[in-house]
Formats: sequence, structure tokens, C-alpha cells
Amino acid sequence: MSKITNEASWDRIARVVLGVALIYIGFSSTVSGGLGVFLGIIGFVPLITGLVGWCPIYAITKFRTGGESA
Amino acid sequence: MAADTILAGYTRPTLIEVMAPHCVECRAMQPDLDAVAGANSDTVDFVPIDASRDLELASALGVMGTPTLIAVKDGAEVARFTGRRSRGELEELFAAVASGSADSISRVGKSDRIVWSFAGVLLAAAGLLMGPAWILVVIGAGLTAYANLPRRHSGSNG
Repeated sequence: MSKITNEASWDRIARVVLGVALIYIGFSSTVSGGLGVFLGIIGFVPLITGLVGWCPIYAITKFRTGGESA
Repeated sequence: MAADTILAGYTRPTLIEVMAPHCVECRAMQPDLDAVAGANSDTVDFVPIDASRDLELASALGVMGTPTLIAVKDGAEVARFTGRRSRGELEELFAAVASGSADSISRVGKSDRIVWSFAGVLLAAAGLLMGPAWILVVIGAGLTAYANLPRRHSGSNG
């Protein structure tokens, strides 16, 4: 199993916070209707990239905030 | 040859590394691993195994990927870790092998442990505030538990 990351710890924590906040806003009726569901679903993107520590957009643009490269 | 027979020969605290020259993660970790192994050579025997040369041995040990680190105590496997580990994590691992507590090392690395624990608590809290949404509470609690429960060896490796 290889594990290559391109996010620093602060980046990962920020993504997790953003992701959970969006999921909360989306699914707690804070924002109703389609927009709420959309925000809730979109929230999983920063949450998962934060958990994994690897961002595909960073990889494409060869940008990184930290982590361990191969 | 069975894994039990191979490992029985290692009576001192031992850390076996199964690596391969073409493995990028192995090459990246090797300098740190060699340095930490050298610093702990009086307490922990370090045994590197090149899977590309000794495929049969790696296979007998049940290794599914490289790098794999196998902690051995009294001739039996107590813990196994696959994937690259940082210098700090390797130092922690060698210290645990030397003191015979390698099975208490968490299954995930330090940075993952912090992020996953934080995410788990946050998800569980959000779930509780949302009604509660039990699915989020369960996922959050599971994530935190997975990140923090010690890596117990599940038995023989066939």
C-alpha cells in the first residue's frame, strides 16, 4: 500500500472542518431545498480529500501544501 | 515453509522489513529506516528482506504489498504495518518492539490519527446536532475508534 499525500496537516484539518460544516448546513435544514442537498453532497469532497490527505486538483496543478511525496 | 517456522528463529525483539527495489515508498523510507535501525541495533534486530530476490519468503510471510514491517516477539509475529512510515513513527515503532509492546501501536500513522480522530468527533457532533442523524454519529465514532484502537495481530499468517 503506498501513501502519497500533498496536503499539510493544517490543510487537512481545514478541509475536514469545511466538509463537516457543509454537510451540517446541507442536511440540517439550515439551507432548504435543492441548494441544501447540493451543499451537503459537495461537503463530502473536502471531507474525503482531507481524510485521505491527497487532493487531485493539487496533483494536476503540481501544487502542494505539505505531506509526503514519492 | 510456514510463517510460524520462519519467525520461530527470531527469539530477540525483531523488526522484519519486506521491501522491493522498484517500490518508490520503500526507497523513500529506507534512509530513515536504516538510521533508526542503526540507532536501535543493540535492542532490536533489523532484518531487511528484498521481495524481488526472495519472493518465496515474502509470500510465506503473507506479505501483500511493500513496504511491510513485521514486529516479532519471542519468535512470533505481534504486529504488521504496510506502507511508508515517517521517521518519528519508525522511532516509535522500534521503541515499542524493544519494549515488547508493538501490538499497542496504532494501525494508522500519527498525522492520520490526528486528522481522522478530529474528523470523527466533528462528524459525530454534527450528527448529534442534526436530529440526531445516527448514520453520521456511527461513522464519526467508527472513524475515531479505527484511528485510535491499537493494531492487534489477528493470528497466524498461513
